[in-house]
Amino acid sequence: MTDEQLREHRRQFLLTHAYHPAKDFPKEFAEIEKLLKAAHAIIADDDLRYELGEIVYGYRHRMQKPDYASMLARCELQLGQTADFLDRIVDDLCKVDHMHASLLMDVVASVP
Amino acid sequence: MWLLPFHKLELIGFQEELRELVLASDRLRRLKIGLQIATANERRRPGRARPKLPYIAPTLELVELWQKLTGTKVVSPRGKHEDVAIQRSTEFIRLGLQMIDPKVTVSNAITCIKNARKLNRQQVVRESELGSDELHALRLLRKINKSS
Repeated sequence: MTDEQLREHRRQFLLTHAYHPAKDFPKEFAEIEKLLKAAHAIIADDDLRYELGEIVYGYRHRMQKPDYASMLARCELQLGQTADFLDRIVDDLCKVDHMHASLLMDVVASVP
Repeated sequence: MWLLPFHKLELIGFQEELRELVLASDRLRRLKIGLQIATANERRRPGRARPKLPYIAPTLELVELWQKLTGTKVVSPRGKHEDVAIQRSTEFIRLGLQMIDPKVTVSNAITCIKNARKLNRQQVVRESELGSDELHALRLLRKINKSS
């Protein structure tokens, strides 16, 4: 499946199963339709549902998770810590002498 | 002397393992920087200032959508105490934000639009100061943000 086909597949899936602003936000969506009509905007119903849905449902989902921002901060911190930890491991492994290094490789190779 | 080639091979294998670890550490650092850039809007600046409204990113996208659909620019918002915004573009953004969070008020929407307009102006200035690599990275990031 090409990227284009995947995007179209995702769009159809979301339009069918998720993005129903007229049902979920009847008052707001009707007002938006009126505003766009008054501003002479020409857009197909599905396109409006999709374009608006991408913004509204995506951010709504994010804002409904109170721990999201702290999870991001934690993830960022752990990425940095793990990188530093790996660097220290590499520094120590560089000091392993060649006899232990070759033995280590034999052991590693024998582990399935 | 006859052992030398074997040692060499073993050391190459060992160095390969080390190289993989160094690459993994590089990948983690790249992910960290990517995460910092991609989620910069979610971050709260340290200090005693009042925290910013968390709607700046959706406002920017709603501004872009309004311009795309109507072919007109989002005007500078006016008025604060009404239930409904005076200008069409402000009302469109207020309604969009209200769908995201029912607690959003006209006043919130106006503040967000003003901040978004300011951010857009700053970005134009900043982009003119960027090198081609940085511009490429910025465009790539926007593309990723749009397609994700």
